[in-house]
Amino acid sequence: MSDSPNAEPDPEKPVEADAPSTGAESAPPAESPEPDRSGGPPAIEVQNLHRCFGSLKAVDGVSFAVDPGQVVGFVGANGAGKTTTMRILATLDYPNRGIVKVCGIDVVQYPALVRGRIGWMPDSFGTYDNMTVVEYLDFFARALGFRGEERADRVRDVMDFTDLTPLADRLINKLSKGMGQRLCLGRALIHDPDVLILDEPAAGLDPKARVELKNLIRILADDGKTVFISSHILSELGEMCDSLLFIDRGRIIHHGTAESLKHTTSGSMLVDVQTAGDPQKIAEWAEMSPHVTLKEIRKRGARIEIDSLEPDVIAGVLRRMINEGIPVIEFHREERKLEDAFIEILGEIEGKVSSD
Amino acid sequence: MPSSNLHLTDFSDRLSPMLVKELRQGMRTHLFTIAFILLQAFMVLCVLIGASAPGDPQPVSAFFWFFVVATLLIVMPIRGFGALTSEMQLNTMDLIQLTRLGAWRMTFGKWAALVAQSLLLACGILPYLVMRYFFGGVDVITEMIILFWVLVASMIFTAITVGFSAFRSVLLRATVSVALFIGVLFGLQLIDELAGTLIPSGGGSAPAGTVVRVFVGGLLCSAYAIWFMLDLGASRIAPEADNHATRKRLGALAFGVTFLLLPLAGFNLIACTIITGIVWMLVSLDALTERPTLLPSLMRPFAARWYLRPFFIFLAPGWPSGLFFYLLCAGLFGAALWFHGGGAGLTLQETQIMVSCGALVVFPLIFIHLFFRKITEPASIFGIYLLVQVCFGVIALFLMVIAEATHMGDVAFLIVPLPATTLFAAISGSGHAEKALVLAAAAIGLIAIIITIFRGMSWYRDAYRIMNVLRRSHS
Repeated sequence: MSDSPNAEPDPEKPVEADAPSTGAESAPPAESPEPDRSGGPPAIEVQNLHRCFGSLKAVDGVSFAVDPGQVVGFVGANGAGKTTTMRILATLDYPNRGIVKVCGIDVVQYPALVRGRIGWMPDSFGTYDNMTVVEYLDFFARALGFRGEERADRVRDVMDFTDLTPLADRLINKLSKGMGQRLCLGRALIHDPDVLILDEPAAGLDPKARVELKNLIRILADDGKTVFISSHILSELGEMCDSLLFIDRGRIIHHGTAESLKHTTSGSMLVDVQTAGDPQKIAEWAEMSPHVTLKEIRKRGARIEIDSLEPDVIAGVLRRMINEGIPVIEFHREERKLEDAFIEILGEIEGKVSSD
Repeated sequence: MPSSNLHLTDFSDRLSPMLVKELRQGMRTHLFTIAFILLQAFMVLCVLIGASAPGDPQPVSAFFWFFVVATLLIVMPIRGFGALTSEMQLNTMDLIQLTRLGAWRMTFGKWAALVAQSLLLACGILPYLVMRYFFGGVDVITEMIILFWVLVASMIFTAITVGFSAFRSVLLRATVSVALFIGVLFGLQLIDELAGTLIPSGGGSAPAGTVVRVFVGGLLCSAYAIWFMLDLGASRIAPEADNHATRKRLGALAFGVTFLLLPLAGFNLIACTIITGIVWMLVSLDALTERPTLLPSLMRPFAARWYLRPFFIFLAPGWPSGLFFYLLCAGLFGAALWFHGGGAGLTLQETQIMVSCGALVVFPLIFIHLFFRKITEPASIFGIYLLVQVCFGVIALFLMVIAEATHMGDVAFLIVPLPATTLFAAISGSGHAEKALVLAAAAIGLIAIIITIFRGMSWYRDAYRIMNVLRRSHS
């Protein structure tokens, strides 16, 4: 893909300190998995970000960093502050306090420069009447400053990449949701940005369209682009993201890889137990056993949680089950679902809040 | 993919992207196609009627111009009301703001596309004008001049509708439509009166110099009106960090000062004064309903140079500085009147008109700052401002009718001595309690100014503090 037509930041001109009214305060970014500081600045850097709408604190002291080339999932319930944070990153809103930088450029001080480095895909995609796919992409290519052959090349490249070439002359409002999302992604890629900010790109898509979109994002990540993506479908995020950021009530509550979340959350493990007898017996046994909590009764067994990762404790649980006469035919560790991990983290936060 | 390639080169790269987009979309809309076909059909009908009944061309001319004016001054400008609103409703405004298209280029592109379509329609009329000359015996030059000014008016109306399309409220846009209609009626009357003062009556033709001055003045006013209305729309959709206020105010000052100096070059003093007064009132209205903002990026240009710092209080975005801009305009206007009057004072009626107009601009601020303090959205403030003006305008009209019909005029005007009432009393020249009404209007204006300053006190304090920080960082 060709270079962006937007001007690069002048290396001689340092990015100015944050402005007085934004009252920027430096705060360390949240823990980031395996940060790569060998190259330039982080692709995304957020420090102590605050954004209020009247008395509502939409974002309340968020800090994190994303290294270049990473795919980061941004997870949170509705109203948690995801879209506000993403809009600030995309220069569409401004912070009340804090520092936000994309590719080392301050979004408040130099929004025009930041816009040349980001591709933004909003959660809802409005369609123009009486406009074809190729005209839509051509309009944005013109608006981004591409001229002549370069503009035609950009439009063609994007249509090829998103597989929209056969639909070039179709009216946009006749496209399916999946095709519309591909078109929206194509628009975000017209100027070959370094960082892609995708707000709920898979919302409302059918499984096939979701897989297609996931593949496109994976290709972009392999191409070295930084992808910052929010979604409610955690399993998909887990598959495609290098790390996940959890946000709740305007605060980052966790930043880590999907794998670490599945295995190590709260120091317990989930076990799938299969039995040749009545699964109900496992439930009765679990009620009286130390270290064990019943999570779910299944057709041929149950899912239990052991509140320790110590091998002796785990072996002791199995031993006690057999001694109690439960005909265990399978006993294996089960990966924690991301949804469970998320809800568990939320529960922990709520517990802390209520105990405070 | 040959067809797609064709589409990518159908418009030059030099054209505004928004214009290209709007033309591509607009030419496919049914409204344009229907308007074009209907206009052609009526034009053919007019020519046929004119050809079949030569002699008095008046009835056919009226019929002909009715359709031209209806198409160019009503049908095409009305399409502008959806121009910016549609982008907001489609949630595409954000996407456009991330490109190199600023709010101004976007608004201008929308307007230019509609005007281009109006020009296309006007070009379709030209052959019929020439045919009417051969069949109907009309003066083709006069008709061409009329068509030119209809087109200019169409451009202004389109700019007004595009500018106001930045307001989401349908009620507000409907109010503007009605106000526009009333404004056109009053405007025509005003133009007629002004033309009467510029062009001598008695059947003689006007001197060439006067005609040129009227033409130049008309074009200047039209260009400014279009620019102002488009920038009004652009400023309402622009991000808060974009400064449109300063250039709007500077533009108004430049326009006003130019027009106040034009009488020295032989232009009509009354016309120039009235036009400047109207423009400064409208720009002050806009300035007084702006969002108060204190973004350092907007303040930095003022803080960077010592000679620009004093202008911050007049030109910075937001209604707190808008008040001082209004006071500056009022002061300049008064000074210009004094200068052109050779130092002589104004008559009581002129004073009453001036003071009433001045108070009329700030009068709604009393309601905005006392009763609608929690409303911060500029469009809502603007809506309240208009609502207050409309309500009290209606009361003033009602009282004027009572004053004219009864001998209770003095009492009627003194019961509600508000700027709109006193203005109508002054214009009607009824002579009802003139001094008392001047004092009442001045007092109300002063109260509005004091309340506004009091409400803006925290803004002034913060602005002073931030300017000091920025000034220190620059030095």
